Amino acid sequence: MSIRFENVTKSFLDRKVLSDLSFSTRDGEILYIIGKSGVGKSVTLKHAVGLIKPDSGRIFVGSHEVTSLNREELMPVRRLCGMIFQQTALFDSMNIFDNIAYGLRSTGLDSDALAARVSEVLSLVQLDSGVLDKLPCDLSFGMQKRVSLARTIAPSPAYLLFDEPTTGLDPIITNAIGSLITGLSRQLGTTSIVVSHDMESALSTADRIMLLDNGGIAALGTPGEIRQSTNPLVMEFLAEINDTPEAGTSRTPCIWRQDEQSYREYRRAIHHDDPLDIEEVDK
Amino acid sequence: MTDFAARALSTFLHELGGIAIFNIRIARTYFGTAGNGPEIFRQTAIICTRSITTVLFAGVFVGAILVVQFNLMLKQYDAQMYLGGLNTSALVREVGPLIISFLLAGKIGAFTAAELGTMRVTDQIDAMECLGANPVQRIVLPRFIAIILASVILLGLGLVISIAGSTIVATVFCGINPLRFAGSFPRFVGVWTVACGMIKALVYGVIVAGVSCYKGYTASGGARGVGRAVTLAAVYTNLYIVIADFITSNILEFLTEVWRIALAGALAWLAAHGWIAGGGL
Repeated sequence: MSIRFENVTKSFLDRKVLSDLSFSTRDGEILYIIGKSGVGKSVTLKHAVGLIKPDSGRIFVGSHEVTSLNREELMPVRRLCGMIFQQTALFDSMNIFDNIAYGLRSTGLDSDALAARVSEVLSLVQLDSGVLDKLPCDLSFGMQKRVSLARTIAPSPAYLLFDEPTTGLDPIITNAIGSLITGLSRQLGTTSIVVSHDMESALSTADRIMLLDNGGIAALGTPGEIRQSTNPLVMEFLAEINDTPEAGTSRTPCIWRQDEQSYREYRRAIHHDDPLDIEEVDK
Repeated sequence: MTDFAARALSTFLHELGGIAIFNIRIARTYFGTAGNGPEIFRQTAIICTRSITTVLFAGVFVGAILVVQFNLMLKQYDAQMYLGGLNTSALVREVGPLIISFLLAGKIGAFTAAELGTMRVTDQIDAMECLGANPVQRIVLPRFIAIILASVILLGLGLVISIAGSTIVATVFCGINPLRFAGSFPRFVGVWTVACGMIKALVYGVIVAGVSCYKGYTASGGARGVGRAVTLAAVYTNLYIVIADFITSNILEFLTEVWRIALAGALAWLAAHGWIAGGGL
């Protein structure tokens, strides 16, 4: 069960965004797609669920060829793919319960089973049931991201697609969301594609990293291979991490990003500040 | 100049084609799905509640303005006995549907375009599709039908209040006996007149719904894109309503003639066969 792109090309007006792009995910892996703004990272992700049609090439989700399906035929394929959007995309006229339950209503679950599933996924994203009656606008952006994650995993998709999941979040919430992505992907056994420009997160959580540039793949490999890469663009991205003024001090070491408790201990030891409670920050 | 005209025509036809295709998609969704009733009812109630105050206020004043204007003209010919009928006929046939559809375009059309546009640019519509739902069925269809139903309902209410307002103004400001004012209604306003008004309201409702839903659903480019969608929805709606008014007025005028001839023929036939007394219309 993989997502496979075969020679996909896409242009918007006279601008070619994807040029003969081919890659395939491995079963159960977390693949990070990294690149500068405007290189087509989100466009790649939207192609996978058929939100954008390629000019040429083929895209497969499992055994389904997405590019040959019409709108109605795409619906069951889309249910296999859970997509988390950059802006959370929560339905602002619905409360949190209805948002999370949205994708479950077509599955024929009775109201008790539906409520149980909503509670279950809410606990997976570490939110309490007090938020269920609230509207999205009543929550912080970090909490909205978690609700968005809960809504996406509720129908148990086989693939998780994250579009810039940590954009606009502070480092602590970024850390928490990064941990959630890893934890959920491993726990649910899903194949995940994460679009990001955050190389640091990618190095700490990805199984493989794909660097996009000029509509094609500039580099593809495991975090270890990427670290060793001599590709100028990869080196530029790696240099961005190392050159940051905060490097080595307040910047979160990659290995700790996977472990909130370690990160909190690190903060206590280095900065002598109070434990950084993620929930408190959220509120 | 020729280039400009060609570009304008091309844009106009492109928009018209886009709206037509989108409306066909809505119609196909309507006939291909079930269980939309409760949401349509809810949206209709919301639109009517939101617009009723504006429509009633506008109705009173439109009726008042017409009665004052007609009175000025009819007084010159000493024909004030026709004021009620002429005023009501103009209201029911033309001014009522037009004014109410303009109000709906400005209020509900713009609101719908903004709401759908915001959902589009914040990825809510994409998210809905990714969750395996059909956004046209879930969010567009109920609003589309609700706007059409609300147009007809609000026209009915607006006309009633408008005629009431006209009667009050005719009595108070023009010194016409209300019974005399209402007495000329049957001469000018029949079932067909009311039907013409309702048909127009229905057509304009389809235009308001179709254009605003289309512009909102296809919005792009963030807040600026939503603003552009709302502006264009209002502009195109009003433009199409005016064009549709010209076309429907002519078609209905033709049908009115057909109706008159058919009715006269039927009465003559009935009289010739002794079913009714002779004399025609």
